[in-house]
Amino acid sequence: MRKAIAAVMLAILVLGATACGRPSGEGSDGLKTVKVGLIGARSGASAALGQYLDAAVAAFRHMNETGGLGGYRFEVELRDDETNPTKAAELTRELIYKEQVVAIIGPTNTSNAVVMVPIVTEARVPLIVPVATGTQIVENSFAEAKGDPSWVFSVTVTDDVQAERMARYAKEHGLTRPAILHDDTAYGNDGAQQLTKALAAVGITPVAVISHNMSSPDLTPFVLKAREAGADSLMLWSLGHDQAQAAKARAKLGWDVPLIGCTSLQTSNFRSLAGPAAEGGLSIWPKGHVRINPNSNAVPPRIQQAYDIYFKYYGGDAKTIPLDTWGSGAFVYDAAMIVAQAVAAVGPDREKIRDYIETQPLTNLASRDEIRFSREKHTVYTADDLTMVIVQDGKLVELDD
Amino acid sequence: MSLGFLLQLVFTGLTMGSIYALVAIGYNLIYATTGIINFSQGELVMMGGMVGLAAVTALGLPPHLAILVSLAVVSVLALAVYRIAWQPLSRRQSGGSRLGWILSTIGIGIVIQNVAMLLWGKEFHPLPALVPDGNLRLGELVINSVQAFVLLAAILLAVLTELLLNYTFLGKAFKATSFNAEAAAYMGINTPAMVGFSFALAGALAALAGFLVSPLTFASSVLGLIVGLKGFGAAVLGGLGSNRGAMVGGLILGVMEIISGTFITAGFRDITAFLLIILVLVMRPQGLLGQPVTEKA
Repeated sequence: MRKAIAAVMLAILVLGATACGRPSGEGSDGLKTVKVGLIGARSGASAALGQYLDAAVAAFRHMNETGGLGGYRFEVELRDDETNPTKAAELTRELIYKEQVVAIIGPTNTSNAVVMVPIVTEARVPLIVPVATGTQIVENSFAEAKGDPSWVFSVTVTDDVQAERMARYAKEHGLTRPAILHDDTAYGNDGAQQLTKALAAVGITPVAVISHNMSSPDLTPFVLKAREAGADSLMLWSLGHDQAQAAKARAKLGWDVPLIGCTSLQTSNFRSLAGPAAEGGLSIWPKGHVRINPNSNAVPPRIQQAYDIYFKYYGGDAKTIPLDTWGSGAFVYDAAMIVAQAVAAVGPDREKIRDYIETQPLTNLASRDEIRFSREKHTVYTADDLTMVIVQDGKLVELDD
Repeated sequence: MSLGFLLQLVFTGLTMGSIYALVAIGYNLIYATTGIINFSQGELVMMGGMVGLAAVTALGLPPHLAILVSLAVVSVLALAVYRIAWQPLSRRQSGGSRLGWILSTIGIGIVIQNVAMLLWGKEFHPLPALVPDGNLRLGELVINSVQAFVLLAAILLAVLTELLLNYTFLGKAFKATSFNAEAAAYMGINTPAMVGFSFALAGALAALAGFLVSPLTFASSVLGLIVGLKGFGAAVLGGLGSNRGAMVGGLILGVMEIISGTFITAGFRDITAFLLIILVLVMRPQGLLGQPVTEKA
C-alpha cells in the first residue's frame, strides 16, 4: 500500500514537473524568469543554418534589456545538434527534462525535427519550427498527437508550398522536362516527393529524379545523369553546400539550363561556395520579406526593425548575416516573439502557451503583421505568398515575374 | 547512354582518383621506412586545404604562394607526427606491443582534426584554384580546366616522387633504409633522418593533394577521414609499398566509385569501392602491382 502511495506521489511530481516549465524565480527587478530552449545546427554540414538562431537570442536579450515582457525575463538555453538527429533527440530531452524549458524553438534540419516531434509531443512541450522546412514535421505532429492538439507549429515556408511555387514557375516558363536532384536525407527525400507531386499537379513529369549523398565532394556524375536524361532545367532540393556543388558541376559541364533550388539556394554559403556558378540561380521566398525588391529598393519596416535588433548584438563581425540572406533569421525572430507573447499572456504553463499560440492572433513579428494558427492549421505560408528570387551580381533579388 | 556521358564520368573519376593516388603514395612512403600505416595521413590532406585557405584569407596570399605555405606547414606537421606518434614507440618496439602505432597515429589524427575544427569550424569553405576556371569542349567531352589541372598535377607529382626516389642520392639512401635499415646505418646512412624524410615527403604530398582538391570539394575540417580512407583503399588495391600500384589503385578506385554511384545508387558509391578492394585482396592479397611477401618459418 505504501509503495502504491509512493508511486502515485512520484507520478504526480513527475507530471507536475513536465506540465510546467521550471518554476519562475523572481529577480530583484521584479521580473520572473522563464527558460526557452533553442536548438539547431551550429556546426556540421548545415552549420550556416544554425547561425540564424542568433536572431532569437537577440530578440530575447533585447526584451530582457528593455524591461522584459508581461513581467517575464527570458533565459535562453541554446544547444548545438551538430546536424545530427541522434544528438538532436538527446538535447531535446535535456532541454525538456533537465532545463525545464517552457517551449523550444528549432531545429534547423528536417531530419532532426522529425526525431524531435515524438519527444515534444510525449512531453507536451510546444515546438516552434522556424528553419527546418519538411512538410512531414507538422504532418507527423498531428499523427503523433492521435486526435489531440498538435504541439508543433511551423513559421517557415514548408516544402509542399515551396514545391508548388517552383512547379508553377516551371509551368509558366515552359520547362516541361525538369530533372530533380536531391540529397538522400529526410529533407531531400521529402522535397523531391513534394516537387514531383506539385509538378504532376501542373501536368509536368520530371525526366529524372536523382538522389545523392549529403555533403558530396563532387556532384558532376549526378548532374551529368540529368543532362543525359534530356532535362531542360535542374531543380535542386538539398542544403547550400550541395546546391553549390550542383551549380559548379553544371558550370564545369558548360550546361546552360535554368537552376531552380529550394530555399537553401539562398543561404550565404551557396553563393560563397559556388562563386560565379551561382549567378542566375533561382529560388522562392515570401514576397515583401528580406529580399530587396528592385522597384522599392527597400524592405518592410518591421523586418528592418527586427534586423536592427539582431545587428545590435551580432553585427559587425565576420559571422554577421547580411539582411538580404537573413530570411530564416526573420522566421527565428518571429518564433521568439510568438513564445514571448504567449508567455507574457498566460505564464510559463506549457499547455496554456500551446493553446494561446493556436488560438490567438500573434503580432509584433518580423515577417508578417500577424500570424493566425488554428486547430487544423499549424503552418503560415501558401504558394500565393511566394515570389521567385534570383542571384544577380552575387546578390539575391526578387524577380518581378 | 552516350559515349560522351561515359567519357565524362571517367574523366571525373580520374580526377578524384588521382588525389587518392597521391594520398596512397604518402602511405607508401612511410610504410617503406617504418612498416607502419600512418592513419593520420587523411588529416594531413585536410590540413593542406585548410592551411592554404588560411594563407589566402588571413594572409591575403595568391593561391600559388598559399600552396607553398601549406606545403611548408604540413610537412613540419608530418614531422611532428613522426616525433610524437612514431619515434617514441619505435624505440620500444622490442618490448611491449607492436601495435601501439595504430592507436598513436589514429590518435594524433583525431587531435589534428579537432584542432582544425576549433580553428575553422566544420563548415565548407571555397578555396581558389591555381588555374582559372574554364571549359574546353572535345566532341561530347567537356574538359574543365581545374579538373584537368588536378589530374595532370597529381600525375606529375607521382612521377616526380618516383624520380626522386630512384635517381637521386637522397632517394637511394631512402630506399636503402626501407630495404634494410640496419645495413643502411652500417653504410653511414642516417636512417632516423631518412624516416623523418619519409614523413616530411608524405606530408608534402598530402599538402599538395589537399590544396589541389579543395577547389573541387571545398576545404573543410571534416574532409580528412573520407580522403584518408579512400587513399588507404587505393594503396591496398594497388599493392602496399608500390607507388605505381598506388597510382593505378587510386585511378581505378576513383572511376569505380563514380560509375557505381551513378549506375546503382549514390549510397553504393563508397560500398562498391570498398567491395572492390576486398575482392582484390581475396584474389590477390599483395594488391594489383605489389610483390608477394613470404615469411620464413
